[in-house]
Amino acid sequence: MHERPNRRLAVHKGFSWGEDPYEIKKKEGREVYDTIILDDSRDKLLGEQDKEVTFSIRLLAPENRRMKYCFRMVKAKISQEPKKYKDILLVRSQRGLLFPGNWSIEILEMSKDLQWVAHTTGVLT
Amino acid sequence: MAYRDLRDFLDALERHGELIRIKDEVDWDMEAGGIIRLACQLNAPAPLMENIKDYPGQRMMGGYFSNYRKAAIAIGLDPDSDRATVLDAYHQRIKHPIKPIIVNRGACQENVITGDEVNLFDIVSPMPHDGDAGRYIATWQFIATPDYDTDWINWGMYRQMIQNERILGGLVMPMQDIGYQFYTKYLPNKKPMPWATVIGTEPITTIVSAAPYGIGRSEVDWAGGLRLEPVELVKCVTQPLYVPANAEFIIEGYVNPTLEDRAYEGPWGEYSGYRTSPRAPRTAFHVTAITYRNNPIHTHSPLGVPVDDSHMAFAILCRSDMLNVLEDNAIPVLGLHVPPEMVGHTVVVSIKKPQSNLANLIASLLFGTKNTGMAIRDVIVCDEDVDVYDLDQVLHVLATKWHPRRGTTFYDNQVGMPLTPYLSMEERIWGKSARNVYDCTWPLDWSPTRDIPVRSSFWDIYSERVIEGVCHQWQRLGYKEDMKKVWETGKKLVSWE
Repeated sequence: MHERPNRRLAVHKGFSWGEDPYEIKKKEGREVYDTIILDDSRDKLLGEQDKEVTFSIRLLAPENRRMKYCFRMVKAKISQEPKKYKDILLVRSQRGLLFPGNWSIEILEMSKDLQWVAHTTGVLT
Repeated sequence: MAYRDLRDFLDALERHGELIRIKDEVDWDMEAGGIIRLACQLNAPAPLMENIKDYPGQRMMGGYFSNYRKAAIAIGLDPDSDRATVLDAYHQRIKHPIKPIIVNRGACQENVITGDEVNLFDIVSPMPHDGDAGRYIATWQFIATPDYDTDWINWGMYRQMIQNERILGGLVMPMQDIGYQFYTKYLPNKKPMPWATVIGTEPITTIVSAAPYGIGRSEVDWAGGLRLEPVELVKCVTQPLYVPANAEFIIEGYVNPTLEDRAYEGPWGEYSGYRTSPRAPRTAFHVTAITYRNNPIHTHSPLGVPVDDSHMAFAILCRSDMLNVLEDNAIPVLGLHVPPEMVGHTVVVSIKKPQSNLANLIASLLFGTKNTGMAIRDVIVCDEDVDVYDLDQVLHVLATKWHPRRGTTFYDNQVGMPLTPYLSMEERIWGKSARNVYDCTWPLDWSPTRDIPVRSSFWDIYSERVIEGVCHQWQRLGYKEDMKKVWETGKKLVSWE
C-alpha cells in the first residue's frame, strides 16, 4: 500500500516545506525560530504585532544541533515585516503546515519555565 | 523460548530476512523517520540504523512488528504462518497470563543519569515527520504508572514529545487507563503520579501496552502469557516502580497533581495516516532520571498510512479483546478480523447464523468495549462461507450480499475517537461520532433453493472430485502453486465437516 508516489492534495499547495534553517542562518546571519499557532490562518496573529507577547518558540538552528526543536518560552515583539526585528520567525498552523514567508522577532526575555504556558492567550501558544 | 530482549529478537528477524542493518550515517531529523515509514509502506525488512548523526554510540530502529511475518517471529511461530494461525496463537496465549519476576540488576541501568545532569536532548530521539511539533522521544514504547491505592501497574502506549531538557509533553485522555489513574486518584488526592517510560523491548512486552487489558489488570502478566515466560522487572532508580530489566532506555519522572502544569504538545501525525492531532495544552511529564544500556537502540514508529507496527498491534490484540467479548456472550463466531489495512476502524466477523439480526447484537457488544469500541466505525458481518482474513473476499461480499437499505444499520450519537480524520472539528473536540453495521448474511427466511444462489468460486461450484483432479495436476500443467497441498489442507472445509 502506498508503494509509489501519488498526486498531492491540491488544497495544500503553497504551504512550503521550508529551507534548512541552518542555511537561512548562514545566509542572513540571524537566528531562526518558529512558532505553532492555535489557528488555521495568520489573521489573528496580525493583531499581536509590535507589542510584548508571551509564547513558545522552537530553536531551529542552535549551535548545538542536538538542541534543535527545543522549546523556550519568550517575551518578545513580532512583526510580519521580515526584517523589522532582529531574528527570523517562521509560523506554522495548529496542524503543522508552514505558512509561506518569514516574520521577524525581537526576543526580550527567554525562559525554560513552561509555567508561562498559563500566560499565553488567544492564537499564540 | 521467549526472546530475552530487543537484541535477541533483532537477531531472529535478521535470520528470517526481516532486518536490514544500516551503517551509513542517518539523520535523526526526519531522515530516520522517513526510512522507517517507507520500509513499512513497502512491507520491507525493519531498518536498524547504527550510525545516527550527532549521537555516536546510539542506534535507532522501527518497523519491527509491521506485518504478520514479524508478528509470527515475535512469538516463535513459522514466519510463513497464515493470518488466522498467527491471530489465533496470540488469542489463545492471552488466556493464560504469567506473573513477572523481580531481579536485582538490569541491563537497562548500565548507564544512570539523575538530577541536574538529566538532559533529554542527550538521548537519540527523532523528529518523526515534517510538521510535527517536536522531537517525539516516545512513539513506540510504553509508560508504566502505578495505581494510587492498589498494586495495579498500568502499561500504556502514550506518546511523549520533548519540551525542554527535563520536561516531556503528552496526551493523557480521561478515558485512558493512565487518565483514570491520574484524574480520579492522584489529582483529587493531590499526590504526584510516578511514571516510567520504557523504550526498546522485544515486541511482546511493548505491544501489550497498545491494547486494552482492563482497569486493575497489569499488562506485564499478559506479556508473560504471550511470551510463555515471565517478564523480568527491576526497580527504578528514582521512582517507586518496576520496569523491564533488559529495556534499552528508561525515563523516570512524575506528573504534578494539578491541571495548571501543562505543556503545549502536537500537532503529530497519527495512526490513522493523517496529522489529526492538533496543538493543545497537555500533560507535563517531569523527568528525574534517564537510564540506558550501552550502545542503546531507540525504537521509533513514525505513524502513518497502514501497515505499520501500530496497526498490527491493534489488529492482533484488540481483536482478542473483541473476541473475548463475543465469546463471553456465546456469539457463534467463526472468524474475526480487524484488518490492519483499515487502521482498526473496521471489524469483519463471520458467523454461523442461528438467528436473525445477529449482526446488530455483535455490533452492540463491540461498540460497548472501552478503548477498542471507541475506534470502530464499521462492523461487517458475513456468513460462514467467507474467509474474513481475505480482504478480496470481504470486498466481494460487500459488493454482492450487502443490501444498501435492509443490510445497513446506522448508529447515531456514538462515542468517537477524537483523532479520526472524517470527523468535523466540533465532533473531534466533543468526541462524537456515528457508526454503521453492514449485514452481509443471507436472510434466514430466504429459500436455499430459490433465493440464495450458489457462489461461483472454484471451491464452491465444482464437486470435490473435479477440484481434487485440477489441484493434483496443477503444477504438472505448468503452474508454480502447490495446489495439491492447499487442497489437502483445506478440503475439510469444503466438505461441510
